[in-house]
Amino acid sequence: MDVDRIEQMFEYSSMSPALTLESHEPTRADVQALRQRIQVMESTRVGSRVIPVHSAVSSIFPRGGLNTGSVYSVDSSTSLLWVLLAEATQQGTWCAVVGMPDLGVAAAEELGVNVDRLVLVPSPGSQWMAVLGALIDVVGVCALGAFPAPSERALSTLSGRLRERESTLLVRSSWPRVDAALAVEHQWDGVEQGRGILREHHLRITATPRPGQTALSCDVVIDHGGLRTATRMAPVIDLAHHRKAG
Amino acid sequence: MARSIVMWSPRWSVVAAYRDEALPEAVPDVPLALVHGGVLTDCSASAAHAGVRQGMKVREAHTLCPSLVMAARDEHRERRAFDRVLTDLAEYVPQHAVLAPGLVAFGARGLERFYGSEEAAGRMLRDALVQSEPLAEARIGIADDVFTAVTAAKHTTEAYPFRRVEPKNSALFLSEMPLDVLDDDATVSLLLRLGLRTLGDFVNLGIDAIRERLGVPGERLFRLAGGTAEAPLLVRDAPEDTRERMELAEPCSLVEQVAFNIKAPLERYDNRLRRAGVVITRVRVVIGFDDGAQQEKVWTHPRFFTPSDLLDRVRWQLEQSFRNTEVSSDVVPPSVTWVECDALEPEDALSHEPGLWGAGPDSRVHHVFSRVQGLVGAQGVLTGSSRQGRLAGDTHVLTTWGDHEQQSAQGPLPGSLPSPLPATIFSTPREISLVGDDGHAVGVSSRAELSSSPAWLVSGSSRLKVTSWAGPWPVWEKWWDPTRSRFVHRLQVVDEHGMGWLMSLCDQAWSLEARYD
Repeated sequence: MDVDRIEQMFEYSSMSPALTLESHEPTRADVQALRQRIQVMESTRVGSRVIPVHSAVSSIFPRGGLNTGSVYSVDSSTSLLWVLLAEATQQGTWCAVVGMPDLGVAAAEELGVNVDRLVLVPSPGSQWMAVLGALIDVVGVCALGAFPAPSERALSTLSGRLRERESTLLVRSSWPRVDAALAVEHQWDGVEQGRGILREHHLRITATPRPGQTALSCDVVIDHGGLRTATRMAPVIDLAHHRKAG
Repeated sequence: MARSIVMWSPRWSVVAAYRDEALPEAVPDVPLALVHGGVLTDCSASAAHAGVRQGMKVREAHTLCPSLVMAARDEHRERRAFDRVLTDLAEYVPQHAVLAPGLVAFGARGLERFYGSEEAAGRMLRDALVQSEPLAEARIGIADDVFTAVTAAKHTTEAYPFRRVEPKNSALFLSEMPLDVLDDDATVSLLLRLGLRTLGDFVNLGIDAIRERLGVPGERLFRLAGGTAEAPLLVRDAPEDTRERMELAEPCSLVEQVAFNIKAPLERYDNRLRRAGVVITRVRVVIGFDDGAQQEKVWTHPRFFTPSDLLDRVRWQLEQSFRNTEVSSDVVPPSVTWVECDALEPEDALSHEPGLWGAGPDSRVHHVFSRVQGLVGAQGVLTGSSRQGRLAGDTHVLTTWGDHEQQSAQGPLPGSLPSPLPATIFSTPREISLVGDDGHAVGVSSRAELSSSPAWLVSGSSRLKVTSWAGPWPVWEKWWDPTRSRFVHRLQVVDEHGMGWLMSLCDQAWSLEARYD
């Protein structure tokens, strides 16, 4: 009787061919697919708050804003930083910028950042981790300069703190386990060979999430009126040329 | 009606200016004048000797007395200086009523009883004032009411600094006085045009006629002029001495030693002020070293200082001063022998009491930012605000967290940097060379034209191709001041990656001021 059961059990386990090594050799692709599924499940935190961003860039975030408790890596574009902070500061959330000494605060105001809700720690030096740990308690978004990623253990402590305090960290270097990496391509319009003035800043912001999720991008324009979504322009018709032809 | 003794110190604002450490050029004996709205409000005796008078225009005064030092009038400074004197006077007379800086009234009855006679009391007050502030002069007026006493004090001379009006003689005394003692320019001017000259003339019009024509304000003036005004003296206690000097038991050369030694005295100091009902929002900390040197700094707090906040400020100040002296390491560092705290503009504690449910979320924010200041130093935590500027670095002001931002009304600035502004502004501009398509460095002619078309941005071994550019625009900043004036050319450049740069040429050298990223 007992022996039967054991035999049945073995039979039962052998009934699922996908999990046995002999019947199906797992390929590299399979392992990666599984990893991706785990990561997708990991990154979904039901109920966590979202920090809103400007409507022109919200399309690159799956939930329409920055996930609280997450780390994003951003490239060196300061305009991108101000765009991400603008909406939060306007809603009264304190934001901090740590370890970036070269900031144009006037440009921040032009892009809609409420500078009364912005605190700067330009050169924290070797104390940056302690400064970050203190600031997370009260600020909604903390942007960090290009500092090397801390050890795995410190990083998981940091993530825990971020989740607990519902704040978001933006880092200017590539850290492991970031929610998304944001990169910017620039194009300036308005100047020619000696004439004109820098007038329109076209940015293509690309968010590359964890592997397995599709990269999202959006086109925005910054001009003297601030930030707006880039609209596809109608082709310019040279009227003078047209008349001549007609 | 309360018989009063009024003490008046003429030219008090000048004395206060001489005593103000923020005005180093105003030393006693230098002819000094105080200016408000382009007109002199007061001047020192030496300036008056040269013919300078109140109400003169600045230029006129300068013609009369070329060595005249001008300072802006500051009522706060006058009050502060007078409060210091009143603190010293508290030894002789416990209560007073300040009418204006330099003008104070005392109840006469108590003083008369204690010092024997009103004259003796007046002499004592005069001596006490001069002892406390040797630069000041004191005049005494004694009468049945405050207005008469003030008028009496103001109609004394240097040779006869006392004027006592016998009881019940106020009306008689005032009737001889000119109208302008009333301090109501509009009414006085009207009365002068009506042909009245003295207060006696005014009183003789009769209360009914005055009430009919001048209404309630006229009635008040009538009472003043008749010596029957019943303005009660609003006496208050002497102001709390807000200064405290903490001597260390032995000289200390380590920051932590000093901090440990003054922790308890600071707590006592804070307690003393709290009991007096004030909190500190601005404090001057002076640190004395054994070599006689002193180091002082004024700290501001967005709410108010707690003892531990004060301790932090002392610690930061010490760290800074030790860092400054570290350069010469072979010399024994000076040791601290005393620390002095002086609360400037103490504020009423009631307006700073936390609410029943705490002071709200902002106190937590402040607490954390202060903690970060403890980690990276006070100047390491900043807030920013924008303003108009012609050069990238001038477009914003960074203020230490907790310091009051100096607000300056700013109109449009011609030639300021056009919008959109650069998002990255280098705190120290980076040196770079700009090479033209002819292979030579690009220069700017005296007619603001580039010597060749820019082709490459070169920094060390790396270089970027220039695809387009705009400018140059000449900027001549502060041309009226040779020490601070700066002549630069601005140039906007776009590189091969589509990135915009702001460059400036100053003294034949290009530098990168900002990046339009």
